[in-house]
Amino acid sequence: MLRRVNSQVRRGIRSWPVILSSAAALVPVAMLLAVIVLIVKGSLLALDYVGFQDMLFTGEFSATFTNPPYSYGLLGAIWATMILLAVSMLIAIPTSLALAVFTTEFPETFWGRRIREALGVLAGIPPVLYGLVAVLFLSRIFAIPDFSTLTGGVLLALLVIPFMAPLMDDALQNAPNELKEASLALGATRWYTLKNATLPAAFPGIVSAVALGSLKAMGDVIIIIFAVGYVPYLPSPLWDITGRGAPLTSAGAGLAGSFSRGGAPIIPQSQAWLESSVGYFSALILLAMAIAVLCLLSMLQWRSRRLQKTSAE
Amino acid sequence: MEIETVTEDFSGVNEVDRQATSNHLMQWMRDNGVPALVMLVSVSAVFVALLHPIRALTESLNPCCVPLLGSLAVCAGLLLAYGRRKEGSWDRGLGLLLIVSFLSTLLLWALPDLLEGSLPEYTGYGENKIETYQAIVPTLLLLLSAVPLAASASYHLMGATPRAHDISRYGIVVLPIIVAFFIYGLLIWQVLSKGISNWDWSVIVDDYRNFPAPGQPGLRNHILGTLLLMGLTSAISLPLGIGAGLYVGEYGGRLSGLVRFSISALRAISVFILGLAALSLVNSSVDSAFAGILKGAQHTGPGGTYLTASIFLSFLVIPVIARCTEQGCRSLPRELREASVSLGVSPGYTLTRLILPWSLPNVVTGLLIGCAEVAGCTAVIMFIAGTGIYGVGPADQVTTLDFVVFDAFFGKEGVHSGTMGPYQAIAAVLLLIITLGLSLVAVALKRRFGARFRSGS
Repeated sequence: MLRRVNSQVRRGIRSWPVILSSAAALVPVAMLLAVIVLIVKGSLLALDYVGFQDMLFTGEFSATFTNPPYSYGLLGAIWATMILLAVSMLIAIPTSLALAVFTTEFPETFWGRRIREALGVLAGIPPVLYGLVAVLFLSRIFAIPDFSTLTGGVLLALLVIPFMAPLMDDALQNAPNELKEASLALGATRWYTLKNATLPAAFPGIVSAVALGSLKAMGDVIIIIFAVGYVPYLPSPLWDITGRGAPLTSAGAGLAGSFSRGGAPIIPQSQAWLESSVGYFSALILLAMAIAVLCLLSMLQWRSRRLQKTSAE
Repeated sequence: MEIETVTEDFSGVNEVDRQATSNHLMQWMRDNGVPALVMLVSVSAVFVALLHPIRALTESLNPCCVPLLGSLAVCAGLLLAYGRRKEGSWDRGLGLLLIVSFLSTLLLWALPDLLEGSLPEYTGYGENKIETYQAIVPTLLLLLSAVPLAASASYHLMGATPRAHDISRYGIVVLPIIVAFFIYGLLIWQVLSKGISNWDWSVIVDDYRNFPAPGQPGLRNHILGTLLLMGLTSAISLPLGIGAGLYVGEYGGRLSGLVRFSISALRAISVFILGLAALSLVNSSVDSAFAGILKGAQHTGPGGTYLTASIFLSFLVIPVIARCTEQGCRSLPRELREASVSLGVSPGYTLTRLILPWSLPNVVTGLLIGCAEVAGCTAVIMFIAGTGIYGVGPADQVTTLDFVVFDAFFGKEGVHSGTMGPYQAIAAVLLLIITLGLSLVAVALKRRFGARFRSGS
């Protein structure tokens, strides 16, 4: 539509804004490719020396900052990522949904507006402060351990709620109005309309909000370093959330960074050098998961857009 | 005709009145006694559930959890019978609630034995695992049963009208909101109180120096470092972000799907991945003048300069600005665009005189949100940051306020964290002020220019 209006573009003449913006638009693509290439390059050493099977499917982990013998099984890290995701999403999804429902149903009231603005402000709190809070007071006030998967999950949920709630709010507001009006006109209560008309219609939007929120929760490293630690292991009853098994992010950070070794820089060709490569491999796993989720999301959105177009015709 | 004077004897009327009132009360009790009782029990259960995780109260509240949950089950049954009598049909939701609360009671009653059986003897870190589970499982189960029960009971109390249905259900929604905001308020208050109680003005204006006076703490370089990082990142990402946003929103070409995907991908991948990418660049063995600037080769200690950090932080900020610019472009009213084309205006002129000024609020909002993220993103710089002794410039070793907070717990023992450790609270307060201030201005802008953030027209 826009291109048809802009006659010069239709004639194929590339004017300077179009050229410049095309050049600028290629930069994010190049950045994404650069990140992928750098991470793959960094993990090549570990793939050579330790091996894909050994790293991905074993649960034994010990590095230079624990004790020899050294083995780098990341299964515990993958399990911890899943458990952390489950705990944080269990807390965050109902709360974000409640917030989104409130701001959708009462958008012009005093509290509706304040809550929306408050969410925007709370979204800017840096993750470091959540980690600081874990150390400072969380276990002094509440009966949860200082450092555990449970603490990490709670803090991740706090991080993700101001991010997910506006997305869900947008999804609920973009649900087609005709469904809501029809249901109300037929005499259903507002709650019934919400539950049986608006929420199912907004379901794809809510699913994408949940997916983006869980990507953000999976990817946060600083909170986890503070609240959980950076040594991954498989907890002995698997569902134990008071353990301290580190997920992929902080395990990789501990392996590749110098803070886990008391600040000593990593000398090339040492055991620590190999370990940092294992850290890159855990980043690669995360990257693969993130890109897979994003591709699924794009396909879902494309399909729902196609369904909407065919139903509108 | 005789006029009869009627002497009224009011004592009897009072009798009748009192009887009528007590009949009225009895009638009300008969009508609404069951929901009132259920409401009482479930509201107290919600209170107990919310107060239970507080460490000071866990011990004392623990014994009443199982009886409370049992009485919730009984109340669910009572309400079910009441609803059947009043409305003539079984409320299926309440039936489900009855089963759920009954099973939860059994689970909670057997919980200590279950935990003892499956959890191993715990050594290390000094925390009792069983204690933790005893604190959180009752809360979850109580809330699960009590909140819907309170909603149903209040619905019956308010007369079972559709409006009562709405009010009772929206009460469920308000509860998590209150709890969440309470916890956020607690968080901010704790950080502020710890920082203000340790406040020291000299720390802000002094540099951190290790020599000549060993161990002089100072946050000045860190503050300037945060500002420099925000400035450099904005300078890099503003033109690129606006360009990418214009491409996707305005001049949509064949690659706009791919560009949009990479923009959302850059936002979605973990910042830890960006930090590792920065680290690999810094540790690489490329030798050139520019690479030397990036690697911070002229300093001893960990590499990484402000320039490197801002390049990788712009990976984070460009998607924010691009998305905001795209929203701004899409919200431009079609009439303005058509008017400019009908007047024969070239695309360049349209861009500079129409689209960019219109999207200016969006761009500024995106920039503010991006800067807030830059100020708080420790994950990218924690691999390459240093102590900030050498000064603050694009080719100097990078260090920022949030790194101080991180480093105080995980830094080298002695030199950095030993001197600066007590002042990490002040750094946290400053960081909080900067990021919350930026977010506040961004939210205010969004409110003022609300229409431009909704794509349409």
